[in-house]
Amino acid sequence: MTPTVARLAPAGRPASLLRGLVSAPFLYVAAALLLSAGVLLAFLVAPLDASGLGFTQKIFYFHAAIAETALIAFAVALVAAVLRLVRSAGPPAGLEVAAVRLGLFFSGLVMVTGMIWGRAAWGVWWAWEPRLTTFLMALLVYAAYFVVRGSIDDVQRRETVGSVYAIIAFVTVPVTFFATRYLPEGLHPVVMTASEARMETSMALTFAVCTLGMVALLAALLRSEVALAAGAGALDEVKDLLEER
Amino acid sequence: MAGRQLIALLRRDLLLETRRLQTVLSMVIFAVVAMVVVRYGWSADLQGPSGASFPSGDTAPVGEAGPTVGAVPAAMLWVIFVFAAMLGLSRTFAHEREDDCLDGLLLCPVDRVLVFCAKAITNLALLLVMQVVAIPVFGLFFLEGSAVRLLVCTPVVLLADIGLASVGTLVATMVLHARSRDLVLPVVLLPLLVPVVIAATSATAAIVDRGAPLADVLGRLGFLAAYDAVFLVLAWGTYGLLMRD
Amino acid sequence: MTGRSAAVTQAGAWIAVEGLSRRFGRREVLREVALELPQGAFLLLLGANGAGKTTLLRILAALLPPSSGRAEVAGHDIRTEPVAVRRAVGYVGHTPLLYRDLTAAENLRFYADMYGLPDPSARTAEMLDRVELRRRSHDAAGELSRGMRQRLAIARALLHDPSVLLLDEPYGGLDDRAAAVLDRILEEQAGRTTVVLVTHEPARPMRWATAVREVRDGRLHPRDVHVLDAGRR
Repeated sequence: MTPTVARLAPAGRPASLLRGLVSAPFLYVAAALLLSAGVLLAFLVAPLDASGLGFTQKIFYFHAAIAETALIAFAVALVAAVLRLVRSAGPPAGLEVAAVRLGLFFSGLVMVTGMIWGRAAWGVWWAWEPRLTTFLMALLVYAAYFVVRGSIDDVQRRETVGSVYAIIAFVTVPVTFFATRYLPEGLHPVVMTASEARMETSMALTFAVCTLGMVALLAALLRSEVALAAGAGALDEVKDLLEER
Repeated sequence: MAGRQLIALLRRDLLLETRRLQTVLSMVIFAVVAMVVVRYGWSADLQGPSGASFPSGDTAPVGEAGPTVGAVPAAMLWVIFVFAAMLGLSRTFAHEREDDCLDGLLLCPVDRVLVFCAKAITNLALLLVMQVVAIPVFGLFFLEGSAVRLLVCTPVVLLADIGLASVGTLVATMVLHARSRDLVLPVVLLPLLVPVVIAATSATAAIVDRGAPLADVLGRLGFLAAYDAVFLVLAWGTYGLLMRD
Repeated sequence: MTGRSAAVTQAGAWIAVEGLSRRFGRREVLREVALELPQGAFLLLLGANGAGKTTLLRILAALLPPSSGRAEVAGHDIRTEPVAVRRAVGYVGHTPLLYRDLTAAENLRFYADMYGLPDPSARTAEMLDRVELRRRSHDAAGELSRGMRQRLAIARALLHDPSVLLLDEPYGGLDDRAAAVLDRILEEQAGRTTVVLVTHEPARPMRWATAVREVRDGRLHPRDVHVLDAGRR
């Protein structure tokens, strides 16, 4: 029998992948500061958009920042999944699930902010154009991740199948990302391209601050979720040990 | 060795399928019945009070912004194909499961990727047999004069089928041990197949309508080929892991 | 790689297991199992239902990955060289692992091809003879009696002349004829093939056993052979 302490210690420790990063409370504070600064910059400093979108363009700073963050969350899930499959001692089990869940959460926010913007700019809540459709598709694909996991009883098999699915689902992310750029009949504005940044410096700064804030929020939430999952696992083990006594 | 194993796997699937013909008959009957239902519902609608006759491929009135003539039947065709494919895909491992001999397959010293290839080829063959019946029926019901042009759709059908069969086989393996897998399979598979349905629909519509530029059709074909390639690579990389647990 | 293999199998063990554990969810079915069997050994594995006997057998057959620990079968690591392990192992499980819609001959022919055997037709016919099923070779496996299906399952397991034979309750539900066939085949294999036989009725296979272990609480316990002699004919 493995000693109790030795078995509990690794589960209770913070996740090894994230240990190098700053602590969760700091990340929450950083996110709060950056996002507050973002709001101030967006409404007080950044100029009104000249291309006809006008005041409604302000929501872009948040809408796009959230969208990038959602895609980053899915990318984190991808990396976690690959590492778990390639070597057995990869990142903690909770990271992949937490990243997909948070990716879905941010995707939901993208939908809401996008619909508000769409209503203001185009006069419709929803349009069947490539960007919106592909994003909706990505959302559905990732939602099915939980259907897959929920249907498999064996834990080891559930983790493996979940990781494979997280890899496959990521195919939808580049499709979504490039939908604005390469598909012809899109309504969706392209604000940043590789060749020219069509933004003034103050606009770019605002966008950068908002994106950083959202990413910090993602990192903080990820840390909390992973710690929670590790705690739940440790609790289960303690229950089992008590049972055996 | 590998070639002989692949042939043995294919021969076994062929023997099992031809002994009962259950799967392929179900698929054909489903596709034809679905088309009859749609065609009947459509003609009842079109021969309403206005007395308009059903639009044939060449002479139909086209609304200014509405879908082109081919678009609606083409979308219907591919939706029906996807659901008919689902019938076959859900039976990918049916014999192994019903006869309780999945272990027998797993005990064989065979590269798991070969198992994927065999199952995907079997699924592709089932799809093609179904389509050999269903596509002429579609032409007869919906295109009348321009039905011969459907022959031009062959590359679209082949590329889309490879996508359906490979993604379907991959997902069928994921849910192999899942609870209520008949429910989970379509939920997981359909969002992943959305890009195939969209591309195949627009390519088919463009071909049937004749008006569309060749470059558009080629673009869709390129997309389908890329989609197939991505998922074949993913299947090749992950299949051993899926079958391991 | 080879160096490590040599270290584990230095005593000439044909099956070597070290610190093997397997969990299903939070339930630990096998804990730190260790086992060494020389070539030609015949191990009887006893234990109550659900003790983990089948799990151990499935791990040795490379059907199930262990949660932790190592195992080598016929000199091959089950994690890194599963294909080589599968080539060396013949397995008889709870179900006969046959396709009901295929005939007896077609079933064996399929497996013969999968194992890459030379002259699969001749080998199929030979095995059908050995289990006394020649005359039923063109009947669908689903139409055979349970005993005949079990005999066919034994033929399938021996098709590729494995050096390790893993048998999970092989006498369970056998009629007299099938049990006699199994007796004869085990008599032929004993000493030549390394056998692990899971059973909770050890009387019949006792005569070949070179070792007996009992699985209890996920661990292997040595079991005194003399205690079992009472049940021996």
